[in-house]
Amino acid sequence: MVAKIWLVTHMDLHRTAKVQSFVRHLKSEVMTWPVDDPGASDATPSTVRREAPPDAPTGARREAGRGHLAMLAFSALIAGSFSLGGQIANDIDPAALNAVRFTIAAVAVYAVLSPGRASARGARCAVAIPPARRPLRGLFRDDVRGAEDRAPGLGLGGVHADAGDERGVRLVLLRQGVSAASRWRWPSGRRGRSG
Amino acid sequence: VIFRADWVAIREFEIGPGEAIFFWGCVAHAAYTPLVRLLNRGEPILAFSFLTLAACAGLLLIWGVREIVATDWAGLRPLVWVTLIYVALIASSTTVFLVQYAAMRLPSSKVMAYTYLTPSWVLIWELALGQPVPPVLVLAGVG
Repeated sequence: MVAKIWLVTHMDLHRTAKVQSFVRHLKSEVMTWPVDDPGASDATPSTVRREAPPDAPTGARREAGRGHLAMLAFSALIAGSFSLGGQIANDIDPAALNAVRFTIAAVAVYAVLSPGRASARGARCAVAIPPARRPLRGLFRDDVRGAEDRAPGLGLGGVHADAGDERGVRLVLLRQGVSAASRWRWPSGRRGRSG
Repeated sequence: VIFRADWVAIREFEIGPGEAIFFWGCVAHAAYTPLVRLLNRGEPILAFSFLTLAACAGLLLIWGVREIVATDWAGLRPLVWVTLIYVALIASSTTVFLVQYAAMRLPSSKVMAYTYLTPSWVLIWELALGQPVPPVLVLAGVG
């Protein structure tokens, strides 16, 4: 049986040097693992997946279609501001207009950002984040420090990383009933992108 | 963010000699979409839009404080208020969200290519707004 490994990190940490280095390390290690079932030809022995849903091509096309639709709507809506703006250009100072404009715009978007939406997002998050570490209405990224002390993430396990300003990455691997936890540290003196 | 706001102001009101400012506005505007991709690290688009707009508002409130105080807000034509609400809710909130939504799903060049479509839409809008008895203006309570 081929064991699938899900590498679960916080979205804030995917691109950090330490996580990427760890992925490389893990990939090279996994290559040496024995393949128990040669019959499973469609599955590669070293499967390290990161944010790759099975229907990725179809999903990507649908997302691109939504992007095109959004920009079509954008071009039509922004054009209205030129027509309207041209008619009142001499009635009001542009600085005053735009200052009030962006203030109203920001308030409107803030009103749409409901607390319920933020908590729903938190509930879907693979890493368990206590509510106190989810900042104002989901406006800012979660504080992941301490999250690795919680239960492992999706499925059988995952890598639980410390925040960007710390150096550790903790590996929790639960493979076929055998649990192994180790602490992997980046050599001191070399640091990934912090913050 | 400042340049983006300037770009909007210039495109809408055609103030000043403009060309040099317009050039830098274009440069900043071109950098905007790739930067959205670069700087978004998983935040919801709405949160990203809010912070962009809030920063715009903050800078413009400081930059335009004298003009705001000098403006006779009570004496403005109704069409000015209609335009103000439109550019705030539709041409700022909605479009900033749409651009950032698209920027996360399309290559930046494709996103920016849609701005070439805007002049065609402006023509359609002018046709709709410029007729002898413009239905949109009647709705807006101007006459």
